[in-house]
Amino acid sequence: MRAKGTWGSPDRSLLVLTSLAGGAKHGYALIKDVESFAGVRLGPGTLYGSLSKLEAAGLVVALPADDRRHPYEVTAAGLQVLSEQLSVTAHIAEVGLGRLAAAVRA
Amino acid sequence: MTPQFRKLIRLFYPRSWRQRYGQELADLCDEYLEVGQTSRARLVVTLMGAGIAQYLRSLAPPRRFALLFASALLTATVALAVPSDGLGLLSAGGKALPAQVPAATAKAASSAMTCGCQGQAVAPAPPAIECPPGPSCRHVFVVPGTAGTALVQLNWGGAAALEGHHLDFPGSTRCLYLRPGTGTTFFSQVVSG
Repeated sequence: MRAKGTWGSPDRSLLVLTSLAGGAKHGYALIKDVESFAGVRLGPGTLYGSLSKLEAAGLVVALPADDRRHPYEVTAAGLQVLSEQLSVTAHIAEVGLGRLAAAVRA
Repeated sequence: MTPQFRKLIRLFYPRSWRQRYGQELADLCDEYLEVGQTSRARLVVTLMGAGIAQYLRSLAPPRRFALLFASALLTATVALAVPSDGLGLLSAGGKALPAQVPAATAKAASSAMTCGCQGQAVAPAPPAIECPPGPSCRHVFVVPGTAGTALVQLNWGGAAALEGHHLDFPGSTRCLYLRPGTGTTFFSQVVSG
């Protein structure tokens, strides 16, 4: 079974935005949350690579630090982008599942 | 903060980036290690990779292209300069290998070089498949990230030339695929993992 190695990880930025849509989180909480809902364990370097890109694009913002750790929060623009991206993903899933069901019936 | 991470971040991340995120990243690395999420070695490798990617992103497109081109050129030069002996595991082990094998024997061995459990022919760039060690395997693929020692038996057309050779493979090994080039063809059999 090669399926596991065939597919790359989902877009990390999408995972981070999805996690932050549930509330502001700092780095480690983000990693644990993404792992719990997507099964993807982001490394610290990968996570901060995504966070820096998202912050530069104005999609997330760092909140004042508590205990040296900055929680990050998704912005309104970030929610908009997330909504658009998830709509596309949902559409692909809907079409794919429909075709899969037809193929199984045939 | 662990000095090792601080040094890595200073080496591999652009200055503007590390001024903003360096402290947080190093703190997260410490936290990550404390809870045993990963090994230090793996963390260092992923940190370096992410840092290089970040550094490339920080460059203007022409400089980024030039750097990528230079890296590709360097990689190709090194690949051509290094003798073709598979992963170099045997030479690292220090045991001498026979220089030549009779052509007929080599041909027989070559035709037999399929992985019994997957039916995949051995190729210069082995496919990324998992092939568990066992008596039916002529070569064995190691899942990246695993590390350990394999006891291999090397055969040249049926004549066991080297038995019980232990190979240590690091976590980055994709497969144990032994082929010392210069027309010599042989295959390895993992006797035990």
